Amino acid sequence: MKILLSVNGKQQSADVNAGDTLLDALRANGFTSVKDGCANGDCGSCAVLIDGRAVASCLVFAAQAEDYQITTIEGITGADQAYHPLQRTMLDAGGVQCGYCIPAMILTAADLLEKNPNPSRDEISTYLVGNLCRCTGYVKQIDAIEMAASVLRGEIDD
Amino acid sequence: MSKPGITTYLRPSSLEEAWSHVAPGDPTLRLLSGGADLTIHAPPEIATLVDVGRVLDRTIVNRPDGSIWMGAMATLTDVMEHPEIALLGGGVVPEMMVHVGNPLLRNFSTIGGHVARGKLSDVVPVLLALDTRIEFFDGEQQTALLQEYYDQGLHKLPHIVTGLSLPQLPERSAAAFLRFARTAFDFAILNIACRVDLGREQPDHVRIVLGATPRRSQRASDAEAIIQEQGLTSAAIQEAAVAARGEIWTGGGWVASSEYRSNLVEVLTRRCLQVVNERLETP
Amino acid sequence: MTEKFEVVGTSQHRVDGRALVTGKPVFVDDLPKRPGQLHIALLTSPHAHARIKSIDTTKAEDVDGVEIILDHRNTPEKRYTTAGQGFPEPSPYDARMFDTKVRWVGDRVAAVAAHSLGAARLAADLIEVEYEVLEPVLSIDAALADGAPVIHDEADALDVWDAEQNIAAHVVANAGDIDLGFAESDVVVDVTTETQYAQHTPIEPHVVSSYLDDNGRLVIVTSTQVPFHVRRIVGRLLDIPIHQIRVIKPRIGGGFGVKQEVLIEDLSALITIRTGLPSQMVYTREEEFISSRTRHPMRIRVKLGAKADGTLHAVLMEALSNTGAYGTHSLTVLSNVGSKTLPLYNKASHLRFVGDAVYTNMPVGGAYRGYGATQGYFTLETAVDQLAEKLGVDPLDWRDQNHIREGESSPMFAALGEGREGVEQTITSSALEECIRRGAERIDWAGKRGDKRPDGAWVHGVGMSIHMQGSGIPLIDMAAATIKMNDDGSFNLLVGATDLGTGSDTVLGQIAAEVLAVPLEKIVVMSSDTDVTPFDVGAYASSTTYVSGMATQRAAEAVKEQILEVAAEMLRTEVSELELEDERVTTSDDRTVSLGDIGLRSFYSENQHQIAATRSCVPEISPPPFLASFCEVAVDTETGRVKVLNYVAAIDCGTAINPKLAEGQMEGAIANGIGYALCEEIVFDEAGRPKTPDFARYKIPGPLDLPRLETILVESYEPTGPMGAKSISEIGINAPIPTIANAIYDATGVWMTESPFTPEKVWRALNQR
Repeated sequence: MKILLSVNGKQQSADVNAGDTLLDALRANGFTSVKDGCANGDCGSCAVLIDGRAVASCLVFAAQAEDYQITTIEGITGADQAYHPLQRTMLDAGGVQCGYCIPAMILTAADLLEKNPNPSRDEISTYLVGNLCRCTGYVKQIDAIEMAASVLRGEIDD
Repeated sequence: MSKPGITTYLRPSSLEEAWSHVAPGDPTLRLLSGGADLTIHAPPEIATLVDVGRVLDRTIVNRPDGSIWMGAMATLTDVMEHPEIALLGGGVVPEMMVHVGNPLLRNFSTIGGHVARGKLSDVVPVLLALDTRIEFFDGEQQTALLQEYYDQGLHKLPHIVTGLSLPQLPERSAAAFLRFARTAFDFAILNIACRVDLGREQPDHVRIVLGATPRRSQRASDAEAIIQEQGLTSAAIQEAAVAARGEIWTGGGWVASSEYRSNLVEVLTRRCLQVVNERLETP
Repeated sequence: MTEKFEVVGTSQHRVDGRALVTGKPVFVDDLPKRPGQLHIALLTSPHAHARIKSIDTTKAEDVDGVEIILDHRNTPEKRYTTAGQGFPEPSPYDARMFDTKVRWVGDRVAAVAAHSLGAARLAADLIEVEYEVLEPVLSIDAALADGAPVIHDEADALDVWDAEQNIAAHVVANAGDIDLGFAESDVVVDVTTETQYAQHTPIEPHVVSSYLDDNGRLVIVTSTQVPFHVRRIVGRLLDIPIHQIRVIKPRIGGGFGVKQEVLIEDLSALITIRTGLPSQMVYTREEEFISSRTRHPMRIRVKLGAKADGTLHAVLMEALSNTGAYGTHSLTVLSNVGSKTLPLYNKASHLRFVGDAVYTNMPVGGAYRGYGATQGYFTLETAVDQLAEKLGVDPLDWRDQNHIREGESSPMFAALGEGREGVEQTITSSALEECIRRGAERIDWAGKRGDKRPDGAWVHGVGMSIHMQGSGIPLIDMAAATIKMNDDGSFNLLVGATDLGTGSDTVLGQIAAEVLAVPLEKIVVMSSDTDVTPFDVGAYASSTTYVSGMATQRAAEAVKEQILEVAAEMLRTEVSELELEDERVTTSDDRTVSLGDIGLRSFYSENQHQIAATRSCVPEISPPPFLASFCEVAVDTETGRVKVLNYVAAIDCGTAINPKLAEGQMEGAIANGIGYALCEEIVFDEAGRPKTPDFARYKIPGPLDLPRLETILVESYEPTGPMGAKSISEIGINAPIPTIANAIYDATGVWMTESPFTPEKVWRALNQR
């Protein structure tokens, strides 16, 4: 069946099966930044923003997603590939190792900071509990999110 | 991963249209609200999805009688973050909800879908302890206590959950939720929801509900009776905890043995009642 | 001691960072699909032990889109090992591409390649297999019992220690006289521990993509730690000359050892060769848990004998390793149990290590960060605490008294290497004393040790352990680097070394940038393409910073010499008068040329030649990093829950080339180790089937399950290492089990001897007292 996906502000037509997940549809239509780590809703590497909320795209059927605005990492990267503060701080803080979990983690963090601009480390950890990372132990990723929160609050320069 | 057996996706635009698909009781048809359950756990025979996302309500509304009504499409996050729901019983709903899956699930999973599923749930014990009512459509709009909905097998008959309502709690009422799992993001080895309303002299409404043992929730009625008679004294709480241990059936499995779960029944019952007691004592 | 560096020692952005944070298609499964690409699905054994009596693929072949089906009837019969090790691999050749016998639930039976994944999976389900089910062997004890079924009864396996006894590998190493040693000891402890099945769970599963290039050469793009071993092993297995194969590793989503294996490349390669079509295979998460590789579960006994004054005198270590259905890495992991642990306390003159790696009909143990040392340190470091208690001394002081120092050696270095005799060596750098001191201070060892601080049902304790690892495999590992100069004064650095997310591209780039006096952006790093980059054994044995780093440093120094020669021509002076600094070469009287000038001239103007050099490194020693690990725990005595409140790791890795990347390695390793200590476990049913093949049932720690991890980089300077560096990547994972076990003892008086220390296990141990 043909569906209309709105991704990063642009609409595109996608050919999907009824049983396909949004993850399947996104990866098949050029959004390989959305990762498939388990296809079981457990690892979080498939997270995208749906109407601004971070959602595991393997837990949504593609056909359901027609009414929503979907954002992938490409949608928060700035014009001319300028970094969103979260992208910059992830690199500054050393929060990126293999990078496989990173697009999803940045999107999830962006959702958190939109709702809670000054989260504690515990609040960050609680919001990221569904984003598994095997490389980092999360320490520097949480550092990065704290730093980005400061930047977004205008407390330090980007 | 794509479910190859699912071949048809329907999106009705009215409740009646949705019901027309559901009424015949076709075992290969499932209602789709959030989707998380079906994308992962749809049994192989499921061929048709009926998406009620445009038909059901997502709002959460304070009703004149003091109850809080949640549309079936309200997400678990909507429920968790709702300011009035957060006040119920001393904060038991967000206290429980933060343990349900993780934000990437809660941001899209619906309360209606979750309750209709009912198994392996952290949500259900709390809703039962709060005497939640469920509203559903089976040709006509129906309402029932959530406890009856399960006890009478109504959840197994063709129907569409349209909403849930949390009744107003009396002024001196508190509830608490505890769970025990291996890690923060894990299904529960055991969970418990307790609620106590204080009447003039002693409790007149006690609910102690344990879940994930691995059956669906069980009421610890012997334990409830002890609190009902004696109130929330240390001795009564300890006695109730031991009683709960005796009356709650615990299964064993690779995650935890029956003996260990029974130990947890006692420990968590005691701790949960202690939290309820603390909440009742703080104004 | 440490020199002043410009680029080394700074936490630069990773050179691949932009692509990763912007989600560019740099992982194998992101690369554009080629026309006609086939998808591969695997049929695996439902039985732990069975002979295949017949396979009928007729129905499967009829499925629309199926191109080819492989099974034992149409694939090479030769025996090999899947272990990604140098040649000749020190692992038994006991595997066949598809065997007529299946030896664990998850073993290969057939592979289907079709034009869609759905068709491939559908067809795989239609393959009809008749099995003669055999009695499964599901534990070490069952494998060693009299009359146990023989798992490897094939006639043509090579280098199996004793197939009849189900022993894949056997290691013995001695120093002194162990019986005399114990006879002379005043105090003796005897401890046995057991560790469990665990899996690496890289978030990116195994994935491979093969195609024939325009000239008919086989190109394998794969998520691997060992591209050159893949090329050689696939070539030998499929009888394809190495020069007809190219292996490329793009970005990979974690490995931790599970990708030090030729796991699925052979399937994709053969399918592409036979059909002429591109082919791709992605392991499902379930296949990752069941059909890839795991940690080797082990039962290890350590007996320690000490003199009354506390000096360690005798050490016996006996290890039984469950190597699963095949012997890949069986010998070398087993050897490491002793070789990376026993030299640490070198005051003992009588040592004995004996180990057996035993076949079972269970998932296959492979390389996993720590590589045997993880299991061995559990036993050794808890035995040390028990010995200290028996001696009536603080275990920190005991360790201080007995650990190896700079300038010292241990007989075990020579006696025990990786699967063979080792290499004599003396410790050339160590800051372990300072690591212990600083870690102890940070955790407040003196204040908290022995003070349970009861709080309701909770009791508290602190524990410690110390560790060494290695930096590469001496005399065996080889790494090489090529550097060539461009006409703008920048350089290309080509290394075979494999960045699995560790940041080695960045670290090696920093080393080159330091020598060549340029900022890191002027080093364009390319790695792990067997057509273009020089040889490197790959990412394992904690070798990249030390071995590949030294090759890079040498290549950079050679290029620097060539640059100075050209500059000397341009500035009409002697090389000895010149200095390379800040992208310029300057004379003692301040005349200068830029690297850009030099590059341009060398391409176009005079004495044109390509400024370039390739250098190699074969290390002669394996200078260990040292770690002092401390943690504080709280134990809920009513439920057995263990919470790690604080964790401090003080690590000596020599010079930290990139401090944040180095800390990141420690933090990730410790997080993984905490999971191994507290909650990770593959559970099996009575027929040998795993019950936990997904992240819902197999729990790895998330951010709420981990304490604040504090890493203290304590610098030493390793004279044989690039810029003074040693390795860092593995050592951290070995610490949490013993550190936590020792802390649990401090809190509760109970010794935990079987990991993971789940709440129920701790509760039972507390209630048994």
